Amino acid sequence: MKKSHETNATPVSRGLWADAALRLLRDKAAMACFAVIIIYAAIAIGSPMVFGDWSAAHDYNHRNESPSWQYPLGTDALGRSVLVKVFLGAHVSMTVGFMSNVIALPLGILLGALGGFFGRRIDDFVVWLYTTLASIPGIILLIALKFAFADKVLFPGSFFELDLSGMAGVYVALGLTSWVGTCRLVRAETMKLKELDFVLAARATGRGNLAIMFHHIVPNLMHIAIINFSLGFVGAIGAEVILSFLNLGVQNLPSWGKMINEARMDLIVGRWWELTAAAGATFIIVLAWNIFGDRLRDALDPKLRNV
Amino acid sequence: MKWFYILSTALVATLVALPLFVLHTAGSGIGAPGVVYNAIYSADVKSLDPATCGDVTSSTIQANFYEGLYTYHYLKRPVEVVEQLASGMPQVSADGLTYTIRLKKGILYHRNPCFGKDPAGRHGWNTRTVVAQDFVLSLKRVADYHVNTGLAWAFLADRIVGLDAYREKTRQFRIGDFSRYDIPVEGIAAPDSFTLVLRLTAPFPQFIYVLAMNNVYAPVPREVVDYHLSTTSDGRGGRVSIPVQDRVPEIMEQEQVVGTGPYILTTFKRKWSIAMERNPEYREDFYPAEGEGPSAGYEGDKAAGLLADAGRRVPFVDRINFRYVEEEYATWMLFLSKQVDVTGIPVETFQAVITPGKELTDSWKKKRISLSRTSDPVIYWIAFNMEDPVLGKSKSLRQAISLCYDAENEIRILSNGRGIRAVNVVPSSFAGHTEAGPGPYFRFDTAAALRKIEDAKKELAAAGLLVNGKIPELKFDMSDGPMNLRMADFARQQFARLGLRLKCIFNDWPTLQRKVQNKQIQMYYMGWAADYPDAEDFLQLFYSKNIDKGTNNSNYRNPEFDSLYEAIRVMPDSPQRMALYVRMIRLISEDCPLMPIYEPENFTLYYDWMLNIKQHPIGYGYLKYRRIDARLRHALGGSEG
Amino acid sequence: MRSAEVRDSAVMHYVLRRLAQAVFTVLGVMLLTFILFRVIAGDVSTAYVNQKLGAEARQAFYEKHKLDRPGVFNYHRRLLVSDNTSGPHQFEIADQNGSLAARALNLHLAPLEPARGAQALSSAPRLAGRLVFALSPSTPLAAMTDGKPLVSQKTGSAASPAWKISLSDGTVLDVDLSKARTCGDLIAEIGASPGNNGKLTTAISTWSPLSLFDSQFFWHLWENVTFSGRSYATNQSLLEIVGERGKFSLSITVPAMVLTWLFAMIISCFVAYYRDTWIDKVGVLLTVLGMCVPYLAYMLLGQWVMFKIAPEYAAGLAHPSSIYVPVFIAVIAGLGAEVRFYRTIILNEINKDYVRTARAKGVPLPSILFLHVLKNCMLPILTELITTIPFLILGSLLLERFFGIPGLGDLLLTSITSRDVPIVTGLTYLTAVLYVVSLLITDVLYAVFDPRIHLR
Repeated sequence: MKKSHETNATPVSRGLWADAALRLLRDKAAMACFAVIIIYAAIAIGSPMVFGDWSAAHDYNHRNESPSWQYPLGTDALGRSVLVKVFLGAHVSMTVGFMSNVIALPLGILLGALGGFFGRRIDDFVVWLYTTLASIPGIILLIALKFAFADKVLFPGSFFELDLSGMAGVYVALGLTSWVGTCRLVRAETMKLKELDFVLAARATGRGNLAIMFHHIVPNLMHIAIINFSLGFVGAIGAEVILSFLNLGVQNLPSWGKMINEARMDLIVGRWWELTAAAGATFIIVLAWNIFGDRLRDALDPKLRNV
Repeated sequence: MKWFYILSTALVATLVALPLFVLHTAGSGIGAPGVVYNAIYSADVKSLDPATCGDVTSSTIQANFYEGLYTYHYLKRPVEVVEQLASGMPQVSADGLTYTIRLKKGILYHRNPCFGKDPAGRHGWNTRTVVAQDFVLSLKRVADYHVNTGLAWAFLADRIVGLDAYREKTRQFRIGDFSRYDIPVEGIAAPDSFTLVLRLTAPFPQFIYVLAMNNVYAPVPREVVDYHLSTTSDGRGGRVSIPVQDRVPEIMEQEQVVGTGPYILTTFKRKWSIAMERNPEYREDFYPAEGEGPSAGYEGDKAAGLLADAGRRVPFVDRINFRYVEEEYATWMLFLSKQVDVTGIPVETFQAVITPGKELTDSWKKKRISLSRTSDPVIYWIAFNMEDPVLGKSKSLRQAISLCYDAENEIRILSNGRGIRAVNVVPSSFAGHTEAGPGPYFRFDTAAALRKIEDAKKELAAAGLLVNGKIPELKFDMSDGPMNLRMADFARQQFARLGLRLKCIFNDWPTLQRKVQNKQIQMYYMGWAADYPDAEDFLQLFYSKNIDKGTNNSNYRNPEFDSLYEAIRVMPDSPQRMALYVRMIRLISEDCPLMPIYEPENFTLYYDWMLNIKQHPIGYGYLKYRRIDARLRHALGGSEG
Repeated sequence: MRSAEVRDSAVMHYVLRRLAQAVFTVLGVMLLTFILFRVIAGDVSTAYVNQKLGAEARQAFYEKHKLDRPGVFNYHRRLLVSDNTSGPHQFEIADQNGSLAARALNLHLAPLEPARGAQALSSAPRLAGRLVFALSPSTPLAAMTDGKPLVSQKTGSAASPAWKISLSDGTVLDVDLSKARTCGDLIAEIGASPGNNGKLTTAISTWSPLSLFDSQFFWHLWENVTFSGRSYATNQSLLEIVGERGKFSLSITVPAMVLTWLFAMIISCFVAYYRDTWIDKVGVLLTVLGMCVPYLAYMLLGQWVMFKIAPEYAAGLAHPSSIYVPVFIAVIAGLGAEVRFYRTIILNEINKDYVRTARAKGVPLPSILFLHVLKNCMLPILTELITTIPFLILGSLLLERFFGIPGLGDLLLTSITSRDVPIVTGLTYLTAVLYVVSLLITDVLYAVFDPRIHLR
């Protein structure tokens, strides 16, 4: 067993987060993936502003052209640059991935913590809720929700206006159907944490239940949240692709799923660029998230914490 | 533990090989003798019943079993009505109100258990000849309130003496009480078994075309109603009566299909496979000896080899298999692998297959594939809801939109140029189209469009409909589907030229229908296929009384148009009527309740072993004329048989 | 109590608890499908009834499929009008000029049943917007007709409103309603109309507990539980449909599951055995790469490759063995995730103390792997397999659609689009029940085979 240099000094004690951050920073693969994610996010935020006038982006004289200097990834059937479509698709995918998690994670954590902490009836309710949702195949729920959302607008006229017939509908539907995994993990973890000493101590000092839950337990669940964020992101991107295949995805903007869907026949006639571009873009970001998520999990997992 | 490993290996192997055992019986009769024609259908067959048949897929399939009084000549163009089960053209009285039709004698129905036992005592093998009373029954069924008819009733409503009153009477009856078919109708009579007399309420010059919708007004024997619809098998070879309220008055099952057609339905699995076999007792029908003569752009039927089988008895092919394939590229792949004999051309592959001159490329000709081109009397347009406050009030807005839509480019880009720009409300092959001339606003002229938009803004401002000084966002509804996605992108760009914002809404078909019926749409994309070769079929879409009937989906109301329509309805073809047609077409072109976009052209590919292919623009039931050179197919690697 | 008895009663208690949870879950699924596919979907008649036929045709559709019932509970009192004759004609109430007064009273005419000769008209009387539970002889007519006139105003006979009632034997009764103000008056007038010698009797129904459940929700439950739904489009029963198309779905998913499991087990054992060597790293890399390619891309590429090699097998089912193309694609697409999952489980086991002890004692790794580690891993692996079995029957929705296989998944998709509600709810219910059963089975397996589990 290796001994540290200063054999008599106490080892530096870092918090979980600082420790994890340090490990990640040293991990070259994880940092490379993180860089990719940041690049994608930047493209996602920037592309609607740069390529805003999407409706005028056609060029009927250059339809279905293979990659060239002018159009690095070729053009599609309406003459639009596939590269631009990939960038705008990044906007769609990153937004969908992010926003669906924004909805799913708090929902999962809240319900899981409530169920795990309070037990008995509340727990029964939470278990019933997520088992019911898990019994219905996910795609069915998504399609049903998308149909329910057709033409509906939430909170019209206010800042929070959500036009559910467009992209908002996609990520709201995804958010409402993908919280089950997080909920299960959080519930299991909460049930374990509940028995630990620091909770007993908090009770002994007379803190209320909700305070204990939010001050002590939930912070210790954050690592699950972060790990599930990466999983959820990847899942949302995949789900968006499938919804586009069924013509239920985002309609007004290009998305990778839509590009793959439209490129079906193109492969037969040898037009490979749109499919490859969209599939490749999806592949890279999903790979980045997968690897980063894995390393994140390793960094945050207390079990691997032997000094 | 060894037995555990052996057992589990065996289990795994069985499970993996399971499909081979389960599926081998599910094939569609491959290997049975006879020449087989393999075809595809990609939408569900909604009805087998003549009275409820209305959509293209159902008609294509169903017209092989059912035949009516008249039909269209297979080859002659422009289309010509010829007799089918009727003997000679109808005798029309001088006032145009009475049609006397004589029937051919000796036409047999398909053999079916409903006719009881045959003389040799075999059950399920009897038949009888068609008589006029069968036509009376089929017309009554169309008028029957309890039968979910659409197209068929639309052409008879208000036209035949006593038929509407009959429909009211059928409401009194319970759904399963078929004694209502015994009530006489004044305007439909069968003085003897081979004569049919129909009396109309007003002259209807297009009536002969209605009668030529052969598969819709096909005769139905009463035995089908009494046997198949009123009783069911008791599981032991006998029949037991179905309770009255549980009966279904429509023909829906394979064994209930009893017609006179060249093929007999043998397999009917919805959304999976439909198979039919040649009718061995089909009446004497021969391949036509005359065809279309040479004209500009077409060498004529004789030169094209379409008269090679003249005078031979039809049907040629022994069996037809329709396989259900929904995805276009799957059909394409099946065609390329020679599992299917005929196909359309998907948009994406078009450029690789067809030259800019709209001919087949040489490399494809080398594969022994040929091309058949026809122009369909169909117009696709964007319909404006005239009751919408914004679009209805501002004629200039509608005209501006029409002027700024680059339809030619849309055809070129979205349909590979398969079609011509529609310039007025009547297809180019119809009389009246050239006479009326193109509509003044149905062309692409951005400058004129921008001028019109200024007028539109003034009109809307006066009506107080501008939002922040701009024309409000317009909504464009269409059905979902990958082609429409592209069209939406294209449309948005066209409207953007005028500074108009467009919101494209995709609906599934039932929702779209509902919204249209409830007048909840502003603009929507639709197509209208001609039911018969007369401009009236398109003009009736703008008759205000048809708003409630559901065919006038633009909700267009114009008293001048209405009075003209009521006049031409009863006029036979004449120069006076043509003058009125021209006026009506020009009214529509001026008012712009719609914006016609294009008339599609039908490109069909088929292998060289398929003979006598000529697409018919209106009629159905012509598969009997197709012939397959089985040896050539076998030699080229196609499927056996 | 002796310990065995304690354990037995704990087991019983546990089993009952789990059964109760299972039942509640299935109820929850039925509730969810009700909300999603009936309440939110709204009026589905547009897809099945030709709109040109008008409101009566739609009404007939609703009655046939019980869509005219109230949503959750049916606490309506009924005005029972009994036609005591028997004949071929339909019973009908019309006012003087032929328009149906039934609409004014919000009455639904139910089909006449010859055996009973009685017809129940359900009326939903409203009193200023609230439903009136108690229909009694003194309920004012205005409340019953929601303020609308009893007789249609088009007839212009506000002065002498009357109903014409045609009975099934052809008798026509004229009921004079000019003096009727309350429900009781209506009943009296019907009884007193000339020609009615007991042929037509009227009464207010008594409320029976069973009728409370004559609502859409409870019919939905009933239809699901007895699996008796029939397609709106084709009128086929659910059993027929599942029997006909289920085998296609299973033909894809069963071989796919078995092959994925087989390959995943082999690969993950191999990789776990060689952990921390380059084989492990390459293996992990490949699985991660495999997981990142979108499913759709696998399908498209697979079909394209197939098409280049052997076109007859690329689509459709002309040859039964062409089903292995989608199977193969499903295996490849799913292998990455499965290998990862199994590898994690196996590695968790290998990292446990007893393995380290055994290695230290000199036992070679392969025998530990096969004798002990795998046995302990079986439980989570088996659990995962069992809980995916219920979803096999629906097949892979995308593969079926793509390859033109007429399976249940494809049917489910088209049924949702075409609003064929009975099929959607029926298939969802079937999957849910199977899933719940599979959960129960896995729980039992855990309880039986894992002595560490304390039964709650």
